[in-house]
Amino acid sequence: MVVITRDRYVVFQVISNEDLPALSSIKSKIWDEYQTIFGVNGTTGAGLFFDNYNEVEGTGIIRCEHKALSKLMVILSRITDINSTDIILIPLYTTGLVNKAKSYLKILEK
Amino acid sequence: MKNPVTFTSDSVLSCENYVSADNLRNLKLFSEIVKSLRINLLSVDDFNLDNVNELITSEEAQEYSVTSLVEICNKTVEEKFDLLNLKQTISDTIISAKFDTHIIISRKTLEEDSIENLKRKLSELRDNYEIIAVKSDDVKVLKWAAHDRRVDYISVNLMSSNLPIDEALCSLMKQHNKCFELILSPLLLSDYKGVSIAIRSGKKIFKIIGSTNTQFILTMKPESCYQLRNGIQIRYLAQLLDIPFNRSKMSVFDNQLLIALKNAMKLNKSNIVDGIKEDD
Repeated sequence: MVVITRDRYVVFQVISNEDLPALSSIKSKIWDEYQTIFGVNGTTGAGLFFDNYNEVEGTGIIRCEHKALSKLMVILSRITDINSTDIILIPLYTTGLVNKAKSYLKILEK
Repeated sequence: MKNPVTFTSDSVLSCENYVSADNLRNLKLFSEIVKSLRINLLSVDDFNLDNVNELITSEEAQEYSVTSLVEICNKTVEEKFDLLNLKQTISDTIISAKFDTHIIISRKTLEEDSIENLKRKLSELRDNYEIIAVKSDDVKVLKWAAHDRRVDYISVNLMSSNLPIDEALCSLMKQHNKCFELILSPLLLSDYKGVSIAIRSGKKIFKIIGSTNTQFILTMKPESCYQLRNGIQIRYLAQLLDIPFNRSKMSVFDNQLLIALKNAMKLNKSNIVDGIKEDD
């Protein structure tokens, strides 16, 4: 049987009153939270991949499998701080096409 | 591919139904976050109608386009108004202003242990607040509150040790068109034991609410500005409590706006017909 995995691309924005965190800190925080809430098994099925992060604007794209989208959204909503810096991670736009996600990012960065 | 300008995710409206007045101390940060999250309806706790008017007219708030429901209604309402049309008009006004309008609603949460105290407080406060919610661990108090038309919500804390909700209360709430208000802030705790307790009791509560089809709304009750979440985020968080995404559609903006509008129109003296006096 052929199993087709469909990807979803979530455009997100980091909001903070202080310096924006580096991509590595955001990655590790999301992975940690995902493992704590949904377990190691859940994390392996998520297929998370971070791309196009702009440290000045605080915007980027997270890729995940379509079945893990709602779980990723839960995790993004749960995060309130990274390395003791208060932040909010806002999922701005979700799409199945990476080019569409990138063009949304371009509009944001204008 | 569609033209990128026509991305459709922009028209989701959000409400935060339980903002603490402390959050408004740093108005600049608060309004920046609220603007980024596109939360347009904000019920501020312990904030009466006079406080709302003071805030709206203050110099500090001038640059943030803050307004009240009564002010918007006075601009849009005609002689004979229909609540659903009015709600649609207000939603359209917010969207046409590119989510830049923030409506402040006055709210009071009563935490009373006896029915007598609750009666006394309600008669004192009913004209000063647009929204009145009741929070208690006693089922008798909640059942009395469910009957009373001055009460709008019954707040449910996910961290309380005993659940004061049963099917009889849900049926009463449904009969009197009242909503439960589920506070989701415990789901953001960094203490995982607390999160686990909140999810467990939240699932139990929704099992009862869902089985009786009682109306409910979802709110964050943020302790700081960084705990504010928009409607979509709240709906996803609620999935941890086994609340399906499609069941929570009306629980993050529409129900709140309808109830607040109904009360704002009641409190607006010009809409009370001569010869009708409501009992306290």
